[in-house]
Amino acid sequence: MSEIAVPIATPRPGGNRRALRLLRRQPLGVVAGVVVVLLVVAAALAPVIAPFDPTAQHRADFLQIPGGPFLMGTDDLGRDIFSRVLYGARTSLLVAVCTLAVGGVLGVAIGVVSGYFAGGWVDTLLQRVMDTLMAIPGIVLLLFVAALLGPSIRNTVIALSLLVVPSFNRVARGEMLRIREELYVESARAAGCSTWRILRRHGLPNLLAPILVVTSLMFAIVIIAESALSFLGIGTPPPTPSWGAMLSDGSRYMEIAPWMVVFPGGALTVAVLAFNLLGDALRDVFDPKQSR
Amino acid sequence: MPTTVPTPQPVPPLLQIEDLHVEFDTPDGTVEAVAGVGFSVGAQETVAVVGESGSGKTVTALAVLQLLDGGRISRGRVLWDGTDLTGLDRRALRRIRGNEIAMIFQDPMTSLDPLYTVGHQIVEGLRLHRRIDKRAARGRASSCWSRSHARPAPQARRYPHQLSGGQRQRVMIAIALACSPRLLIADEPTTALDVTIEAQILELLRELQAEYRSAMLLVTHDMGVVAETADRVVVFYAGQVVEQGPTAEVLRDPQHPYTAALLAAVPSGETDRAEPLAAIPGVVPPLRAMPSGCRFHTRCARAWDDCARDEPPLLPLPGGRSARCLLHRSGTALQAAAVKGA
Repeated sequence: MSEIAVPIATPRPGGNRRALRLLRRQPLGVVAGVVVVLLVVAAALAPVIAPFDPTAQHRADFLQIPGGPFLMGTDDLGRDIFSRVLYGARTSLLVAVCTLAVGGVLGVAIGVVSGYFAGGWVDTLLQRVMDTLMAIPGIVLLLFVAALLGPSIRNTVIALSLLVVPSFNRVARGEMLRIREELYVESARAAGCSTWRILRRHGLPNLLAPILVVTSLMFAIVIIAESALSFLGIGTPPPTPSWGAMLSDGSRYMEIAPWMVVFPGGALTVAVLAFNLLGDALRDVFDPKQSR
Repeated sequence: MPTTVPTPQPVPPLLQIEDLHVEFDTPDGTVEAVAGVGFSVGAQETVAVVGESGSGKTVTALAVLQLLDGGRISRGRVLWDGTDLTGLDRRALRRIRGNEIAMIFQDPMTSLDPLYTVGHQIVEGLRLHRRIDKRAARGRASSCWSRSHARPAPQARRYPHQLSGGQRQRVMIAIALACSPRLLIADEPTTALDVTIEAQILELLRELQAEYRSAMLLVTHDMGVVAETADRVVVFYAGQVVEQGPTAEVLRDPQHPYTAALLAAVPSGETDRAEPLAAIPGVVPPLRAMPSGCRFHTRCARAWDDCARDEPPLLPLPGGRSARCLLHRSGTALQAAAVKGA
């Protein structure tokens, strides 16, 4: 018998079988994933799906109950709530994606560097800054930044980024502490890799899984926080539709037009629940040892 | 006895460690893990470093590549081809690491990054040091690969978790030899493997070392491995070299009581099964509580009063050997004999 030198493709389990197995093990997670995808599609296609301009005021039809041309009714200014909920998903997701991009990249970078040089002055300095940030209650931090910079989507992103940086930092640093002790990192050093190369090639890729889990969970937190800021009138400025602002508007008409709060509130709840469940499922998939 | 030159070597050694001291800071103060170690490795020579756990073997090996994490070289030099590695900047060190001096670690199970295929990891090491494109690197990698007798192509696309321990160690060897280093440091390369695989891996190392014409510094605690592989042996005890010399002579006629005791502890075919295995009484003294005088005297069967008082230097002996024992101090031979007889 001679050894076969022809490369043989390693057989992979069929895509369908894998999907089925995932559905059986993580039914909630799969449902949550589908909801998240629907949410993203709805946000992306809002201009196509929405029957009306979300800021158009149908003065003759204010506070209409759901039905007819207005699927979810109208608000006190006669704006179509269905359209506003759709566009609100856009705002929420846009703010969340930007926040997690900025805060996530910053937090992971700080955590990775800090973890690799754990115990050194760089680590001490960075972590004390992070501790300080964490010591300030979230809502106070948000109010402070929003009040300082004024309400706008960009400033909301800045404020929320500050809120999420420590969480990413903590996870990334912890993972990096573990990876740093791995023999493959020492092997890489012995092979002549630079610190930068080790962090980039061996550090980052090995901590992506837990970061993905945190990202999903943070999505839920950021969406709620954005709504809270908008509810308080220091987040997304009107007339841009935002679930939080819609809740705030609707709270004044709760008795006579409950649909003004029910639909944006429902959308918010579903979105947050979906991201939370997705995060839990991801954690179980990536690290079976941690599942309860 | 006539005093000859300690190590008769026609060419200057490839690697020369001189009076190396390595310190570690601990919460309870500074400890010295390596206290004045010196030995050399010649071109294409295999030198084995043996000793118990905690005797400073691995620390010395890591100190050669300046890879001490948390420790520092407080004194001494590591001369590589005449250049002192302790004074080099990081950039210059990176050019030597993996390129001129390669290292293989003890545990092949975790020495490979789980996220990349093993073939990719061989290519990566090559591309780090050689200006070659991916295709050329792949070609070279696969030749290293087939020489390390790991199964060819299909296996190169595998991830580390799909390979056995022996296969992974072969991959590590292929990575280490990809750049044809002039020195290969193998830190207990077979400790994590079972005995049958161990023999194969040692055989492979010897074969490839000859083929690539590289020298090898083999760290081990296994006298059998030493006997099979090494040209010369350096015996470590408590952070010091206690004896060194050509393997055959040292094993046949040890000049330090510690080496003798180590060899006596190796069971042979003639060992009486009813008898308990020979062992050295006591344990290696903790680093912060080294006995005065000879570091081994508390466990030494041949120690006498002087041993607790005088710290023996590494005394040169005939035949390119040396031993750190007062028995070899001129004028003590009679005394030693008397102690033995008493």
